[in-house]
Order: sequence, then C-alpha cells, then structure tokens
Amino acid sequence: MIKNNDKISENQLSILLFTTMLGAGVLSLPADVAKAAGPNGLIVILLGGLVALIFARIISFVASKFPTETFVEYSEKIMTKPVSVLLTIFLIVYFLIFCSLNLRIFGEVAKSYLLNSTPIEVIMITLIFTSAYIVRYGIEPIARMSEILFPVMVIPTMIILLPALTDIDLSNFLPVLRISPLRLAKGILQTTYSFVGFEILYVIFPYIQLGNKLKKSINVSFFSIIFFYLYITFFTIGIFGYKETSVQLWPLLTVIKSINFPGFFIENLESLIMGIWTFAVFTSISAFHYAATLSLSKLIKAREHSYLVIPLVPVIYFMALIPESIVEVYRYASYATYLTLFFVIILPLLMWAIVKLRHGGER
Amino acid sequence: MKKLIVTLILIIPLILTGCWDKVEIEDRAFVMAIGIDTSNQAKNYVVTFQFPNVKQVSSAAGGGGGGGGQPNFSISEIGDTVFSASRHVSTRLDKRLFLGHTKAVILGKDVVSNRDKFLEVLDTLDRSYELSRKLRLLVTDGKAQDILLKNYKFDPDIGAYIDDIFKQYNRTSIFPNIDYNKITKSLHDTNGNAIIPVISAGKDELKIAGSAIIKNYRLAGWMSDGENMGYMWLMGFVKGGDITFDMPTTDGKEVKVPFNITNTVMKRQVTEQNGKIIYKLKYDVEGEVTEYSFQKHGEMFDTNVLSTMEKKADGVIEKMINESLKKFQKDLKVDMIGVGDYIEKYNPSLWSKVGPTWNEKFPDVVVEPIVTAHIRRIGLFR
Repeated sequence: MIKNNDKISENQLSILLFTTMLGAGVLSLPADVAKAAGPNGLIVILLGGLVALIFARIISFVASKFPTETFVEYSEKIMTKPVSVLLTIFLIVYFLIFCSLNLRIFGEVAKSYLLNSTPIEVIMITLIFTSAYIVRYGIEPIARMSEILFPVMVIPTMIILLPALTDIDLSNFLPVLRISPLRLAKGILQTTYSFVGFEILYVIFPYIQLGNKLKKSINVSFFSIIFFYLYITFFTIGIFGYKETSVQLWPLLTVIKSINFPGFFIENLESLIMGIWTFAVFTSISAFHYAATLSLSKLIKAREHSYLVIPLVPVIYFMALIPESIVEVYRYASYATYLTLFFVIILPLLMWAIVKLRHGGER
Repeated sequence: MKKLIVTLILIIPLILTGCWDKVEIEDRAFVMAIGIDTSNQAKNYVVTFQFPNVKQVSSAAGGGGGGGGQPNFSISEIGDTVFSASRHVSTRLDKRLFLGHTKAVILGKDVVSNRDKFLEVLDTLDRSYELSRKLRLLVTDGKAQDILLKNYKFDPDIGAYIDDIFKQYNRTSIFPNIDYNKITKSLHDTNGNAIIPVISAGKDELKIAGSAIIKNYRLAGWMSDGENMGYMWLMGFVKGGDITFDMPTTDGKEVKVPFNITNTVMKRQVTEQNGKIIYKLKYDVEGEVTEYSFQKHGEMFDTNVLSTMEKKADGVIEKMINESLKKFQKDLKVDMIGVGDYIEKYNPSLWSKVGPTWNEKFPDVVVEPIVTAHIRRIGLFR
C-alpha cells in the first residue's frame, strides 16, 4: 500500500522537523520568553528545547516499536479501541488547530505589514490552497520542499541580523539566574510550546526509511532549532532589554525595523523578512495539514489520503477565522497550549509506561 | 462547456491581478519629516508632513535640469489624533502618504508638556506598522510647524538633514545621539523617563543642541549644550568632542587650550557602605591638544606642561559631570544616568533592597567621578 517513492530519508526527517517547528511562533517567541524569565530568556530557551527533545525522543521510541503503523493503529494496540478513536479525533483537531493558528497569524502579519488593502481572507486562501496542492502528493514532496526552503529561510535571517551586533548590550542578560525556580520551571514549560510541531512524529513513522540514524536526526533538528531560536532571542533581548521586548507583539520584526544596514540602499528590511517568514509558515502549515489528513484517512480507513485534503481546507479556513481579533488569536493560542501539554508531555509518558510494562518482559 | 471556460478565463484575471495594494511611485508622498503640535482649536493636534518633490528629484538625477517647482512640500492638517490627521491629509493632497522612509519626528513643546497628549503621540508612534524605529525623535522649544514650514539655506530636506547631523554627533557631544528606538526603550524601562535631543531653528538654518528631560512622561526641564555633555559623560556616551581649559603660561598669563577627545573608556562600580550607595565612575580619556600659544615653542616637550594640562582637563571634565549630576540629583530628582539600571544588573541583591523605593533613594547616592586624561598628540609643532 505504501509506495516506495513515498518514503523520506532520515536526513529529510530532521529538516522536516526543523521547518515544522519553525512557524508563526518565531515572531513572538522573544516576547514570550522575556515575559516568562526576564533577562534569562536564553537559558529558558535552551532548557525548554532540551525538555522538548526528551519528549520527542519518547514519542519516537513508542512509535518506533510499531514502525509500519501510524498513531491510529498503534494507539489501539497500546490502549483500547474506544480510547484510541477518541485520542485520534483529538489529535486531528489538534493538528487542525495549529494549522489554522499559523494560518491566521500569517494573515494578520502579512496584512498589517505588506498588504494593507488585501482582504485577509484572500491571503489565507492563497496559502491554504498552496498547502493543499503539495499535501495531496504526500510526504516526500513536502520533505523535499523543506529541504529547498531550509537554507532560504535560515541563512538570510541570520545575515540580516548581523549588522545589529554593534547595538547589542550584553548587560541586558544580567543578572544571571536571579529568578525563583518555580518561575524558571514555568518559563521552561512555556518555551516547550515554541517547539510544537514535532508531534508529527506520531503519524509519519511508516513513511521514514528507518536506518540506524533516527535518534541522531531528531537530535540534529532539535539542536539546530534551539540554536536558531537562541540566535534570534540573543539579538532581540540584547538590543531592547527584556522590559521592552516583553511589551512588543512581534519583537523579531521590530528588531529588523531598528537595524541600520551600513551604506545600504535597502531601508525597510521587514518586507524581506516577511518573505522568508512566509516560507517558514508555509512549511509548518503543510506539515500539520498533512498530518491531520493522514490521521483522518487512517481513522476512516480510506485508501488514499489525497481525497481528504480538499475537504479539510474549508475546515482549516473557518477555524482560522473564528477569533475576532488579533488579541483573541493569541488568547486562543494560549488555550491551545493545554492541548499541547497533553499531547507533548502526558500522552507520551503514558504510552511509554504502558509499552514498557507490556513489552518490558520480552527483551 | 465553452461558455464555462470563457467565463473562467474572464474571472481568473479579476482574481489574479497581482497586488491589490499597488500604488504607483509618483502617486506616493514619501514623508521625510513629521512635526506634531497641539492645537488650541477644537481639534487636538496639528500635524505637519514634509515630503520631497519627487518630480524634481528624479529629473535632477536623470541630468534633465530644471524639473520645476519647489524641492519639497510641507502640508499641515488638524485632527483629533495624529493618525486621523495623517488620514485627513488625503482631502487636500492627491498623493498617498507613505511613512516608511520618515527620518525625523519633531514634537512641539506643548506636546511634551502635556502628559496625556505626549502619551497619545508616543502610542501612535509605537504602534505604527510603517514608521521605522531608526527615526530621530526631537523636541523643539516652540512649534514643530515653524521648523518644517521654513525655507532653509543649505539642504531643504529636513528629515535627511537631521539624520546626517546625527551621524557626526561625536565631533561635539553636545547633543545626545539617541534615536527613537533608544527613547522608547528608556521610557518603557524606567516608566516614563527619557532624554530627547532638542532642535531649534535659526533665521535660515537648523541647529541640534542640548536636550529635553522627560520625567514621568512629561517635560521636566532642558539641558544646555554644556550640561548635555556632562550627561553624556555620566552615560559613557562620549567618544569625541572638545573641551577647553585655562592654562597658565610661564609669563603669568592664561591661555585657553582646546582638548580634543578621541576616545573614552568608562568603568563603573557600586558599593554600599553604612547604608549609603557609592557609585564610582572611572574614566580614561584620550585626546590631543590642538592649540597652545604661538610663542611658546618647545615648551610642550617639557613633560610638566603636559601633565599640568592633563590635570586641568581632568578638572574641567569632573566639573562638567558634577554640574550635570546636581541637575539630576538635586533639581529634578530623577535617575536618568543609569545608576538604578546598573545596580539591577550587577548587584541584584542590593537592588532587591533599594529597587522598590529607588526614586527616593537616588538623590542620596554618592557619585564619585575620577577622570584621568591622557594627551597623546600635540599637533605638528614642538
């Protein structure tokens, strides 16, 4: 049933994970960590990333016990059928929520910075249909596109920030670790949400050509995204200080606004960053869209997932339009983090415990 | 079927006509400077926009001579808010205002004197998607409109002109090199305190010197050129500029000697002794003497003269710092010189003790500046 050209290599997996995790959240990430941990934002990102890595490894451990099955099938074996169906429905909703949140935030940012008189609906429809187009063809094209877009996203972002190096005041990161452990732990937990996206590991295992590098490629993708987040936050808090950073909506764009490109004729670099960021959002949306479609097709035992791609488009679209304003978008996003708490931390631990208990004696 | 295809072909160009937000470049007014004043009429603000005459600029670049008309235009509009004024301009202008290239925003004295209005203006600037954070925010001791509506001798484009003046701030150090980014950061960090450079208009030229002190989102006082340099010393911003000291010569007279600063290194330290906070500042100032007395050839090579000069320079700089300190500690009682910020970062345990009541504590801080000047060069004469 699974065709040979619909498999991705383990290298592709690590890039796919990176581009999925790098989504709409990167614009507001520095503000979130500055609010959560003050000048210790960098430490919190590092620790939060490591925590996320641990749970990603737990998910991949559980899933790799059933290498030819997706979450829909193996959760039935681990838990009972009714629980599995219920969880799958929640998982699909979860993927759809993050897909539509990304879509909405993308629409809001693009509308305010670039396309003031274009209706947000048009911006969103364009993106979701582009995503539907690639999702129809399966995981391999998605991964290949991520491979192509990965350098296009990462390298220019890092170069654009470099001229701001002289504006960085290292004392903005002081004092180090004068923060209550409780607040630090809360900050770490909150940052774990910035790594949302690795949950696609639940469903994509049958499509990976499993060799012996799986653990390594998950590690690589996590360490590179931790580094990327650290880089961005280093510039943002380094320039603004944590007080100013925490009151901004999209600090990354504000940093770009305050960069003086020496002797450069381009003045407003936000539009450049917006273009790059469109790729970042697109890769996240298509991965979430694919994961939702795939789970749904397995749940209803459809022969091909591609029939279900288009029916999900209006669902994502209308979900994205539910929040009335940008304030509500971020309120809904904070509600969605409770679902993340469940799917990223509680469920993996639960399944891991059950698998250990059941299969522990076999070895 | 054919009809359907034809209809589709007709509809598709309607949907895919490229950018809905396209504005032709000649239909855009690239605002270079904005002036904001309060109005005593029914509306709240008078906002003045200045933009270049694109037609003339482009024809001059093409070598086509002439072009015709003024080099730039200014237009004023009243409105309840700054934003509504910028929109209502469209009732009297055939172009669309574009603020992405704005270089300077000038606030009238009435705006900064009124806390509510100042807060409104700041919020407009902070929330704007178009305005760059690199722009220069200035205060004038009068009406901003007067500065923008005048004709000047040198460069008529005020926004770019101001930006270029700021690029050579380290030749004088008499106005703070602070852009909008730093001002808004300071306001957010200290809950309403900041220093904003001052612009004033002469008969047919502009001048940037001195600064306005904002305390609790309201104008609290002005700093003259000299006081401003003292502030710059306290912040460690001085990287250039000049000071003058009186030097007694061997024949009993006194000459004025200029000391041209080339570099400064500042080191800070905070200690607490018997409940008193002592803030020590150590400066290593490098510079050159560019003028002495024409007849005293050879005297400079006598090292004693040079070391006397260094001591004189120390004295002048310390006096400058102390005068500025008096202004902040005694007159205004507001920590604008970053002592609190320094304690918060480098001595957090002390900050947790004094932080909550810092405004009352600040006037009692003992500040001890120690300046060591080094004269490295003396010009081309012995």
